Amino acid sequence: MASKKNFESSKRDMNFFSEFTSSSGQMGSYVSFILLVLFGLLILGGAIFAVVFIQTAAIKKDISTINTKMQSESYQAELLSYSDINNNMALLNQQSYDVSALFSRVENMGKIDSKYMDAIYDNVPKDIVVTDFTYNLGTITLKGKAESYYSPMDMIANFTAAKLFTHVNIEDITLVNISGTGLTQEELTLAKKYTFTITCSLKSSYPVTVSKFIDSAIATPLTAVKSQTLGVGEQYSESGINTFTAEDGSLYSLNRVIINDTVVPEADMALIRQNDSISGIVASSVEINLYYILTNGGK
Amino acid sequence: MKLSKRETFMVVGLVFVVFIAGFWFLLLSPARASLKAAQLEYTSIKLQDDTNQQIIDSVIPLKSTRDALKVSLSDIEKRLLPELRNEVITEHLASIFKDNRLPYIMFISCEPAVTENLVNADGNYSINSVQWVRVNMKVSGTDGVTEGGIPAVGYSEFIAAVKQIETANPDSIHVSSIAMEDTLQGFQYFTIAVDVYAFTLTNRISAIDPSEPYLSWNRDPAVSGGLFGIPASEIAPSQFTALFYRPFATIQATAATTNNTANPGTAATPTPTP
Repeated sequence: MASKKNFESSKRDMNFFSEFTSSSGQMGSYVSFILLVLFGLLILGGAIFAVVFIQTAAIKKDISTINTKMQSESYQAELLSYSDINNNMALLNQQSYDVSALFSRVENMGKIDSKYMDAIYDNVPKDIVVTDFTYNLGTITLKGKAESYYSPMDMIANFTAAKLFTHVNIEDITLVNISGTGLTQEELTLAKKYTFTITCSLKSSYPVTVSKFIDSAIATPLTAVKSQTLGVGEQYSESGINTFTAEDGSLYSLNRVIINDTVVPEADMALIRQNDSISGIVASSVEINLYYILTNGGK
Repeated sequence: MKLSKRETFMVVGLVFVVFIAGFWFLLLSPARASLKAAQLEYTSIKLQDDTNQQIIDSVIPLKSTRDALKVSLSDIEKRLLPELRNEVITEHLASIFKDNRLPYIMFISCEPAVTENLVNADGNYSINSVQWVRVNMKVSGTDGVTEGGIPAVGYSEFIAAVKQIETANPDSIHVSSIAMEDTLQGFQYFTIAVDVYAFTLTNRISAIDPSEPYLSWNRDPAVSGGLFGIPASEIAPSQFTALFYRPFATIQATAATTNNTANPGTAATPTPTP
């Protein structure tokens, strides 16, 4: 059955070709048709080629325009200007860090505050004469004369009530033998017979400084040093520390923290990152160094 | 040779295929490759141009950021003195005490200047530093009784002077310590130690303010003509010691001819004539 089908099919093909051999006129129309198609294809191909060529030419022209623009003096000058400004910024940032770090040291050098002397002056009882005082490095020493032994204590009570000092120490309250001083009887009656020395301690305060660096061998500073002076027991806090955006748009993220030359462990770092802040209680000088790594390339 | 129609048909087909292939491989493919290369080059150059354009566009905001940084840096630089001039500092402190009725200066000393350096993370010293000097002064009050000491001047005037010093330039002038010592004769001595700080900057960007009182020396220039060595004519007659070995004298004075209070002109020691 299958072989009969193949035979019939071959027969049909032979009939198809025999149509060409048998009719030359029909053949001529096929050739014309093919030539027409060929011509059409030629036109189409030419059009495609022309489109591609024109596109290429247009793009090359654009490239040339951009190249010309990029090589122009003004363009190059502006790029150079950016480079100069960037270099200048780097120098200024370093200078800013240096100057602020040095200034924070100066800021935290010990100095007296005359308001304490004003407060002492207002709290000295009437029967006391201060003959000597020194005010140096957070300590005020008062020496003087008093009519009685409790007068200096009255003075200390006044200081305590005014919350002036963290501690007041009685160095001595001494009854002086003035009998051999040549004073007359009347003068002896009026003389202040007690001398005293008391030492007053002021509340200690310490500097808290925060610096930001790029985490590299040379630790390039990112900003000026931030410094403040806080009293013992006061809380310090620095927030918004997880990221830092530089002037050129470069984004940095916090990599590690060193506080007073000690690296903060990773468990604490997780908490710092979660809160986006670092805080603590002042008990001594606090130097916080935040080290950042580049997150994006900037410009 | 006459081709059969079938052969003709096949040749035409072959020509057709060759034509298409030739067009494709010889014309269109190179053109498309050229287009693709141009497109790639354009994309690359456009990307570079866009990046550069972003950079150029950021120049103006960056300039303003730089200017702001300069202003902020300049502000910090100005907070400390640009240099230390001991004579100006002490003269200005003395004038403050004088203005507060304490013109009697008992003692002035300037301790050697201390330089505070900054160590960078790489272990090198920064090119910038801070210098500071401690000025110690002792001034006297008056008793209000003795001629020249009227009216009485004491603690209140001293504290007023201290406040003036500590508030005028609180960043660069720190009052380090103060003290009072009663003479028990109706007047007091007051001492003060003042620390004065200055930046030593290699690339200072802020201008120095010449009107800063701790920098400007406003006294008239001193007339020159000072002496090295006190000549005999400048010694008070009461202080001239005749009995003193003088290597240049031909005849040394002896105890017998000595007159301790002799006028140099009539001293026993003859002066050799050249």
